[in-house]
Amino acid sequence: MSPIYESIQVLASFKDRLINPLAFVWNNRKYVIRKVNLIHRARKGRDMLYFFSVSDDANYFKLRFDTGDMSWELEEAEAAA
Amino acid sequence: MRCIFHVDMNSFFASVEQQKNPLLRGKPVVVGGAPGTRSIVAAASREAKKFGIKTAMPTHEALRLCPSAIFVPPDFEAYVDVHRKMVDIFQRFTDAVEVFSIDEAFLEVSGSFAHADTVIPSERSESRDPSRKREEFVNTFSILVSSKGVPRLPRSTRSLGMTSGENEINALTIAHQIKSIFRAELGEILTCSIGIAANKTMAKLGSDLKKPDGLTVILPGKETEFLDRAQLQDICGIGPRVDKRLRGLGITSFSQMRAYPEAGLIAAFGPHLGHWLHEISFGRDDAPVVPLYDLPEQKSFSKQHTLAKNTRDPRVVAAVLMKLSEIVGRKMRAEDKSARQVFWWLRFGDFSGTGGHRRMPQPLSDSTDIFRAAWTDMYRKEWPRPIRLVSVGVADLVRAPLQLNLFSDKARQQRLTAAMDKVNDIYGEFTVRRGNIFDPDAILEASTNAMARRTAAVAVGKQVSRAVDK
Repeated sequence: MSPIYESIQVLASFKDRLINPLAFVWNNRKYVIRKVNLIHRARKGRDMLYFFSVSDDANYFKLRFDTGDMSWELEEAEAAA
Repeated sequence: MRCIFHVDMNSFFASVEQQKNPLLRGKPVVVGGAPGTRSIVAAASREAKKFGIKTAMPTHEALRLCPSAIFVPPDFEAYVDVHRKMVDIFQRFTDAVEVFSIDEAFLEVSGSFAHADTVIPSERSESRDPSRKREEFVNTFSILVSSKGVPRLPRSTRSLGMTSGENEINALTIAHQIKSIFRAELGEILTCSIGIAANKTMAKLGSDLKKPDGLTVILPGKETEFLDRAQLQDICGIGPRVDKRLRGLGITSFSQMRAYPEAGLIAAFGPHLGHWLHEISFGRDDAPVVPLYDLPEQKSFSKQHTLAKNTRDPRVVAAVLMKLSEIVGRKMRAEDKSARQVFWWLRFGDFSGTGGHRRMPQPLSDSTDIFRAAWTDMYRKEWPRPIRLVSVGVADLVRAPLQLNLFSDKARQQRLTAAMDKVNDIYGEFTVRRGNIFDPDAILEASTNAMARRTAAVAVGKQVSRAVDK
C-alpha cells in the first residue's frame, strides 16, 4: 500500500444523504469505481472529512473528501499483484 | 429474568482493514507498526491468528511466525467511526447499551420485546400493518410460522433444548437482525460473535465460544454446564494472578470452586472478590448493564507515549512531556474541569520505572501548569537508565473555577489558552501550539529555573495575541 496524498477530480452522486463516488481522474487516467467498501468520517477542527475506501476491478484506493474546502484527495492506493 | 447480549466484533481492526481493502481479504493481516520499529500487534486477522500471532505480541515476533504477513498501520479514525455506527445500531434495539471496549458491548434486551411482531426496529420498519410485519419477519429470518401464528424454532435452536418461549425467540431474532444489519450497513467482512445469557459474565463467555460469526445461547439453568467445560481464565475477571491463587487453594475448575466454602474464598480474596468468585462459579452475576448515558464522570485524564528510541536526553523527555501535557490539558478543559493533582510516570529500558504525584494548592487546567508540576519532580528524580516511556495525568477533578482577576498574569495565560483551544477546535489539533514543543532547549532552560519564571515561549501568531489582549 502506497501513500499518495494528491489532489484528484471526482465524479460523485449525492443521494439519500449519502455521497457516492463513481469515478475519479488521477495522473490523467480515469478510474471507474466498482465498489465502495467502507465509508468513515473524522473531524478536522470544525470540518468533517469523509474517507471512501473503494476499488475498481483490480485496485484499492482511499479517497478523502474535505467538507471544509470541498476538495478531494487520493490518500493511498494499492494495485493487485 | 434478564436477557443480556455480549457482542464481540471478530478481529475488529484487521476486519476493518480487510473491509476497506479487498486485496487484503483472505490473507494474514497484522495491524500494527512495521517490524523493526518498537511496535506491537494491535490486531491480527483470522488468517494471521492461525500462525499463532496474537494481540500485543511484538511485530518482529509476528513476522517470525508468519513471514508472509502483511503489516498495515492502524487507521484509528476508521475504527472509531465503525464503532460509533455499531453503537448506533445497538441503540435501535435498546437504550441499555454498555460499551465494554472499542469492539465489544453489552446489551440488555430484557423486556424490550414481548411479542414477535415488535422485534423489527422502528427506524427500519416500513410497514405498520401487523400481518405485513409478520410476513417480513418470516421472510427475513426463515422462521416457520405454525398454523396458530406462533413462530417455531429452526432445528438448530431446538437442538439447544430451548422452548418456544417468546423471550428466547425474540432474543435470537434480535441477534440475527444485528448480524444482518452489520452486513448490510457496516460491510460483509465485519462479523461479530454474540453470546446471550441471563447475566453479563455468562453472555461474554458465550460470545467467546464460537468465532467468527458465532451465536451462542446459554439458557437460564444451564450455566454450570458451560462453566464446567471452561477454564478458569475463560471468565472475564479471572486473570493469571487470580488463577494462580485459586490453584494454590486447590481450585482448578468451576465445579471445585462451587464445592469450596464461600467463607474460604472470602478469607483468601476479600469480601468483594471472594463473594463474586463464589457467585460466578454457579453462573450468577448481578452486575448491571450500565448504559452510555449513565456512565460515571471521568475521574482522571492521562496520556503516555513510548519513545522511538530510549534516551536520557532531558530535552527530548521534556518536549514529549510538554506535548502530553497539552493533550491532557485539552481533554480536561473540554470537560470544563480543573485538577488538584498531577501524576507522572517514567518507564526505563528495562521496564522498571519511577513516578510521582503532586497535590496543587489551587486547581489547575492550563497545560503549561501541568507540565511544570510534573517536570519539576521528574527532572529532580534519578534516571538510572535510559527512558522508554513518558506518562502524565491529572486527577482529583473539580469544575473549572471562574476566571481570575482580569489583569493578573494568570488570567492572561488563561485567556491565551482559551484562544489556542478555540483555534484548535476550528482548524484541528495542534494547529497552534506552544513554541517549547518545537524547542527542547527552551524547555530545558525554562524548567531548570525557578517556578516563578514564566515559560513565555508560546509560538502563536499575532492574531492570537491580539485576541488575548482584547
